[in-house]
Amino acid sequence: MRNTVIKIVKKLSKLTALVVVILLSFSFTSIQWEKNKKSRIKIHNSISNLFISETYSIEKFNNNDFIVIKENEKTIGYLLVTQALSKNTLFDYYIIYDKHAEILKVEVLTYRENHGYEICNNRWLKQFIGINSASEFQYNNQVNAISGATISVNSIKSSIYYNTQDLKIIIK
Amino acid sequence: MNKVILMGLIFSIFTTASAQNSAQKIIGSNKGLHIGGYGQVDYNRIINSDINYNATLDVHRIVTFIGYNFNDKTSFVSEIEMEHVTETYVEQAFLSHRIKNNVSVNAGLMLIPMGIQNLYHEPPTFNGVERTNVDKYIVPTTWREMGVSINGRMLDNTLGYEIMVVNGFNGFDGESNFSGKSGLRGGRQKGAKSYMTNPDLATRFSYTAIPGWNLGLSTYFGESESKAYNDLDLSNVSAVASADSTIIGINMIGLDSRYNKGALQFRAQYIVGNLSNTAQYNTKTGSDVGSVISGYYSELGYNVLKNSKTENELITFARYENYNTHKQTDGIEINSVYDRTDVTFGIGFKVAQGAMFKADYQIKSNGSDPRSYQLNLGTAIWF
Repeated sequence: MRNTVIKIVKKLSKLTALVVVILLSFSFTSIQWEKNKKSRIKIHNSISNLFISETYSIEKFNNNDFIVIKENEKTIGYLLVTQALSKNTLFDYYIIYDKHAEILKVEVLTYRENHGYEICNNRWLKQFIGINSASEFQYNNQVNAISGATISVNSIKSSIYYNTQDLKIIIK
Repeated sequence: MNKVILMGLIFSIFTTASAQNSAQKIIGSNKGLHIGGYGQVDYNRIINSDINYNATLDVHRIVTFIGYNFNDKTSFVSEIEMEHVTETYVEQAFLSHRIKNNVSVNAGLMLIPMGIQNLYHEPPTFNGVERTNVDKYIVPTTWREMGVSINGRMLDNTLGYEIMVVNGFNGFDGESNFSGKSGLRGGRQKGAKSYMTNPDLATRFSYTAIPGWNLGLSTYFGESESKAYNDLDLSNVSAVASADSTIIGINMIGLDSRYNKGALQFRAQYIVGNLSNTAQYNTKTGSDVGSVISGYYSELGYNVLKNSKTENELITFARYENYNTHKQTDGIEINSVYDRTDVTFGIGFKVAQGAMFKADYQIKSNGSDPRSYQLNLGTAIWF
């Protein structure tokens, strides 16, 4: 009787382990930007151009939101594909960092509404490259406003700042 | 046991090799309810050393935004407005569907894309307690009508466009809704059982290639609507001619510019409306509508706290504004009272993003009356 109970418990343990692993697997849905050809190409081209590399690889960075960019097994930078709020909905954008978490590029992938699209202007987004984010006040002072895009400007500004702070803490 | 776990791990790695960050997960579930709002509460008092005028204290407008994203491409946008506490309006109510990454189609009650403030009228986004009078008497903000639009961006997101087909103004419903003093303002249908004979066309192009600078070109072409056309026997020549005298043609063009650099803010706008058939309209209805209405303003602002260690903003500004609803007339004399100029000086103290205290002083003049002076105080919110 005791042996039978132990067998059942062991079987249940195996089953539980399998279920947990499968559930963990399904807790991550597929990457949307990797499925989207235009986004995939944009990000690939940016990484290739910035790091002058066609042989880089990307992989998930521990359990956080960032992706590590590697060349010959050495970390050369980081990628974050994320979202922020515009007036009525969310927009998708990405940040590419060097290995010291300095911003090399920011680009909007998908902007879903008509208001505030001015933040998609790559010339405006260039001001985030190498921006001093030592203090939030200094950082905010360096970002120019755009009339008619107040919400989206504040949103991407704040999102970039806090994500960059997160990365700096993670790689410390 | 080991085999089971190994299989699980392989499965896990296989499926998470393309795993993503938490924010990306939101992309897949990008839908839901969005609620926001804006409003302004005002104090206005005409200042005169000889005559006393009472001040007015008004909950000018409180607007509730409710939006719903059905999926990544389709959303509904609505704004419900309470004006002066007792008046309720629907300011926007449209369905938006993104047909390409940079192109959307909207249908419903929408803002006419003319000038700056008809589109961007949330109170913390403009200087001064009240909206500019160019955007009241020349562009009748909040100007919204029923229709369909296509909008999008091109040239690497530096050129935005909106092309809209909408119903026209209600110019005549038994009596004139246009006037010499207020221009086209009284003819807005606002989506309340709107009617139409033929649609009008509104367009706007915004050029934003230079960071901080936004240049806008707006147009509106069409004719006003008239209830005289309803149930009209087209073989009755005199009835058709009579109905033809109850509409006016409207060709309006606007040019606007906004520039922000550091602490500096600059914006300017020019709007001109050529109105045809006004002589017949005025004769038929007894109105005094001008044949050309126009207005412009130029405003300079400076955030004096830009370089201090605070995130608050203290914006000082000055604005010169002229708006003339009798720039030209046809068949009637020009009334110089309708050639109005406002010079406004003021401050706005932004205590949080979307929350602002405002104060300004206006020197108002026109082509015939003595100058008048007005003090405005107000609070402005947007969330």
